[in-house]
Amino acid sequence: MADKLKEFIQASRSEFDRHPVRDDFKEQLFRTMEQTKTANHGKKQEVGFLTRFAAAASLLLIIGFGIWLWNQTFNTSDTPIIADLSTPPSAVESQVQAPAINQTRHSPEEKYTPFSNNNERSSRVEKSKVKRARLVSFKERKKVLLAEVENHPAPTSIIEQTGTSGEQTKETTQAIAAQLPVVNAHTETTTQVQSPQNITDHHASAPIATRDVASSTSSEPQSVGSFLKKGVMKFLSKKTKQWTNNAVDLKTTPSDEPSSLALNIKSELFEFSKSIPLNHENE
Amino acid sequence: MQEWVKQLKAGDHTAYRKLYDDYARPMYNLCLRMTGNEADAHDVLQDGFVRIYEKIGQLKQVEMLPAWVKKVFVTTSLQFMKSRKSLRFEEIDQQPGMFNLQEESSLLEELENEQLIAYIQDSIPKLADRYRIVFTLHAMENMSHEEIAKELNIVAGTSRSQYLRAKQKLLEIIKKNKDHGRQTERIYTGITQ
Repeated sequence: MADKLKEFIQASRSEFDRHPVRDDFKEQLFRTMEQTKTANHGKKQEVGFLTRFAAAASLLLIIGFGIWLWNQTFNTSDTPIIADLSTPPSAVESQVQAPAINQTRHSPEEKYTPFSNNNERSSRVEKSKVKRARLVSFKERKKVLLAEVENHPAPTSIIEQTGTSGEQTKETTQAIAAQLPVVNAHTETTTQVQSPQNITDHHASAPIATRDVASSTSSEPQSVGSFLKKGVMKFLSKKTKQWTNNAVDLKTTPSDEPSSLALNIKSELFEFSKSIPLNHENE
Repeated sequence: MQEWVKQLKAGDHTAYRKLYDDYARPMYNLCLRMTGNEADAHDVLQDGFVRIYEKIGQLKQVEMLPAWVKKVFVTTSLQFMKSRKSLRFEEIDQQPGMFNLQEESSLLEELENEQLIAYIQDSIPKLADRYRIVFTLHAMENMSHEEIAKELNIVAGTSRSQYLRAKQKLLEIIKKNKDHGRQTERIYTGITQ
């Protein structure tokens, strides 16, 4: 449908713009534009400051959140746990009561098998919480341990006791071995006591640190911080272990009759080896 | 034009004076048709130029400057009208308006071009806001009904029906003015005779 009126208007379009603009309008307009320019400049500066402030605040928040997340990751990760061993008398008062070890230790298969279902996952989370609680006591214990190690150098004194009955000695040895607080099946080194004598080691009651070997074989991705912390923990526990009875290798001379006691002490700092003749008359 | 737009973007006052000289009059007439009175038209014209000054950086294609300037003034005018008056486009207006094509043809043939332009110019401000806006945008600014519908947040059918009603009203006013002019002419002729 032809729109004749529109066609006519479009044909003579310029004729319709007849009305002139007010004379003083131009100067008024440019004054307004100048004011707008000034106002906009001030606004831009203000916006720039606000933007920078917001960016800085956001950055701080992100960093704070990152640190918090890092700590969370470390606390929930599989932290090495020092075995709850018999403690020196001096540390008994100061230490926090820790749960029994056999309640928290796991076999390697159980511990590092990937989650198979949600129940197992929730169970893991619960266990992780227990571990976290234990970690607090561990940190306090660690201080005691380190202090104890420094106060008591590795070499141990062995007090021999009379008693040469083979059966009795064997039972005693087994009893000692059973009492030895090396409960982690994955401990790298174990104490070997093969003595027909009833050995009383002052440092047997000293804290024995064992490390969780399997934790170092975990295939889970770890953050750098967590990795470093684990490394430090590993180093500390290794040192502690070296300075305690793990470094003591007690062997008896294989003979029909108890004749001597071999004492081998190995450490990074020194190596000591001595064979003590089991001559009761010498006492 | 490229250099000119570059100067405009740089905030050069000489370039803005040139822009004013080229566009002030047609844009003022556009604003006048949209608002219906001179005072409001001047306010909208000022707002439009300030907006161009602020938003010139958003112009991507240099050759689109005339269309962009016109769009800025149309948008500013519509915002002004929406803020000052309630623009209501009733749903019933979606029905096509009745229009006598014969009457339109005879009127256009009957009047001289100059006369007709004057009559149209005088009649547009007498239209209701919604009719005047749609008529101005479609007949004067050559915008499609789809574009108008988009600007006014209405459907294209409403724009079409509003335009037909506007045209009908406009022709009625022109006819009335023409008849009134004849009567006045007769009276004048009679007195003088």
